[in-house]
Amino acid sequence: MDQDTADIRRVIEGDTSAFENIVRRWQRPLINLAYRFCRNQQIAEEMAQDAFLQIYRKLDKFSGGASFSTWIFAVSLNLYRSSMRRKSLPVEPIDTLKQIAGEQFPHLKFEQEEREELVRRAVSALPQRYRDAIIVFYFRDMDLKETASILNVSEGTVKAWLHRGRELLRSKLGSRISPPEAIKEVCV
Amino acid sequence: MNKDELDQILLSEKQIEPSLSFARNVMLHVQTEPKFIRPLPFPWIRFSAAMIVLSILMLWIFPTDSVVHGMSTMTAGIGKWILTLDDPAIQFTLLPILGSFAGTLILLWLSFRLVGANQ
Repeated sequence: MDQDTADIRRVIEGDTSAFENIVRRWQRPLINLAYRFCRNQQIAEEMAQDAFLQIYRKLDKFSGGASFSTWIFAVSLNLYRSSMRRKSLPVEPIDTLKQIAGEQFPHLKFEQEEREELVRRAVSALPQRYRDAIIVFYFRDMDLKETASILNVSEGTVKAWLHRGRELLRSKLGSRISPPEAIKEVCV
Repeated sequence: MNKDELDQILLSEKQIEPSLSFARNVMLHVQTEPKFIRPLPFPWIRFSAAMIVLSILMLWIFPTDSVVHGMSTMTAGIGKWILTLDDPAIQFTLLPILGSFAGTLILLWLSFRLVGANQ
C-alpha cells in the first residue's frame, strides 16, 4: 500500500490529520498547475487551497481505479476551470498578444525571457479546451495517455485539441515562434 | 526560435514554491469540514444469535408439524387464499409469518440502537 492510499484510509476512518501528509506531498504540483492557468502565485495558492478542500470532500469517492495523481489532477483541473470562469481572471486577449509579438516590436529581437513569457501568456489566452490540453500535456511531461485521463477525453481528442491549439499559437504569434515539436509528434 | 525551443519553454516553466503557511492554512480549513463518519459494520453476530433464539422460540411455540401442515394448506389454497382468510389453517400459518416479521423489525431496531446508527 502506497503512502497516499494509507493516508486516504486514515482520513476516511476519521483521522483528519493524515490529510496533511497528502497536502504536503501534493501542494507543489497543484499550486504549479494552478499557476499555469492564472500566472499569479497568490491566486494560484487560493485555487490550490480550494482544490485541496474539494479533494478532501471527495476523498471517499476515490475508487483507486485510476492512479491517485490522475484523480487529484482531474479534480483540481475542473476546479481551476471554474475558478478561471468565476473570477474572470485577467487573461491577455490573444489578439493583444499578436500585437505585442508582431506590431509593437517589429524590429526588436525578443529576449529569451520575454519570448518565454509571451508563449506562456499566449497559451493562457487560448480557448479553454486547447489551453487545458496544452497546459496538462506539458505539465505531465508530455504523457498523452495521462493527459487524456485527466481531461476525461480520448487520446484522439487530446491530439486534435493539441493540434488546434498549436495552429492557434502559430497564427497568433506569427513567425516568432515555431509550433511545439512534441505536439507535432503526437499529432502525426 | 527553433522547433525544440518552444517545447523547452513549455516544459521548463519555472516551478514556484508554496508559501510556508500553505499546508497549515489548508488544514485549518479542513478542520472546519465535517469529519468522515466511519461506516458502521452490520452487527452480524448479534443478528445471528437473535435469529437463532427467535427460531427456537418459534419452533417451541409452533411445532414443526403444525407449521408444515399450515404451509401445505396455504400452498394448496393459494388461488383463493384471500377469500379463505377466515380458515383456521391459514390463520395458523399466517401467525408465525407475522410473528417473524415483527420479530425482525424489533431485532433491526435493537441492532441499530446498539451500534448507534440512529445518530
